[in-house]
Amino acid sequence: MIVCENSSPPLLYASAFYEPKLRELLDHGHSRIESDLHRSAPFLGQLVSDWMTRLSPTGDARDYLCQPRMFPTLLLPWWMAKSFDLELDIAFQADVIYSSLNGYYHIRLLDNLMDGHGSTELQILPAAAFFHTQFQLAYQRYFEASHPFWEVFQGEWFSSAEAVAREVSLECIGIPEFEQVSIKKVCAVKITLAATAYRYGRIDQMTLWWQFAEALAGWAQMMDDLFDWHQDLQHGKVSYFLSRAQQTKEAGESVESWVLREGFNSGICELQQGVPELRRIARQLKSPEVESYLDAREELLAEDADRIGAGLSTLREIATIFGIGSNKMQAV
Amino acid sequence: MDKHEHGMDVQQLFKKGLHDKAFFDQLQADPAKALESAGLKATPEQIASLKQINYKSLVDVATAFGGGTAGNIT
Repeated sequence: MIVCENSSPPLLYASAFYEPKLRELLDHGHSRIESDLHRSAPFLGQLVSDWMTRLSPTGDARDYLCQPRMFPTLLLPWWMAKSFDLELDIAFQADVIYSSLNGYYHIRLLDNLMDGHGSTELQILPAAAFFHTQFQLAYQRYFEASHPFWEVFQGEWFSSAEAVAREVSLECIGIPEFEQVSIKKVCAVKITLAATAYRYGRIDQMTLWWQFAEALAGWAQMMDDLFDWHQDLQHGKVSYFLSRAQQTKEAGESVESWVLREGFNSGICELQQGVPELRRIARQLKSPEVESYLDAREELLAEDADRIGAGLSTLREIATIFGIGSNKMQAV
Repeated sequence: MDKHEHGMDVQQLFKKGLHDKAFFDQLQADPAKALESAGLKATPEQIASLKQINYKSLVDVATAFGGGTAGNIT
């Protein structure tokens, strides 16, 4: 399933979902970004290279999107193309990956700035011009200006930008806001799926893959909210998970206490309950890769629940010993 | 389980769990000294209980929530 060496915890960095050809295209796409950017904007190029390297937990930018917990931005169009049982158009797939990498970094750059996570993002903000241009340019050789693909491109790309902006203005994210705003941030992947469907003449499959991508985007965003809760709390960011904490914690209780008491477990339960719906949609895609992916994600989630749950249990034990909330731990 | 007027509350405990591995290393090795360093005092019973804790599992909490993972996953 997932191969990983020299990492802690295990299964964090490498993903066997990237079969050798796909990994080759990914590596090539990264090299292309570096060479294009360094050629056209050498000063900015170096700053962007450093930023992309820092984003990756392995220190190798090419590994960043391969992490098993990452939303499969590059995998979905590849799996979609394979599900058509047609000869793969490798040049097109390479362009899809190059475009997707640029689109992803464009979103990451803006999202980090909006979240307040970004330390160097403001300095490299002009790179948004490069990322956006390359994201779009890759498709121009395949679809003429009047092609319906561009309507999808425009609609989904603007929807993603709107979502990033709207999410920052929200004071609370319930289910409606989560579905209408938070998930839309990830839905630019629908552009790559549309391009793939049009390129292979399989528009009939587009809606199903979109449905799966949206469902998976929701699931992945929910997981992102769960695992980022403490950083989001520190940065004053509103998320679905933190909004639920505010709604369900006891009066005077801290978010930390709620997470320890029930929040983490309820977040894991919600994710686990979402898997059957993902599987239901996935079955219609006739993609063994998607089904294997869901198996792996479910397994990874169970491992996370066990490992992190044990750690939280330890914190609860210590809190109990300290008598926090009852016979408090006194300052000297 | 939450806050109190003096000493450590759950927020501080959580913060230490995420960012202060040295505190828990010391808590495991010498609970009384660790607590004294943190400006806290404990009963002998509390110190005995603190020696029984599985501190290793805290690493997973720090990795998951303390910025030890890759950050954004979407």
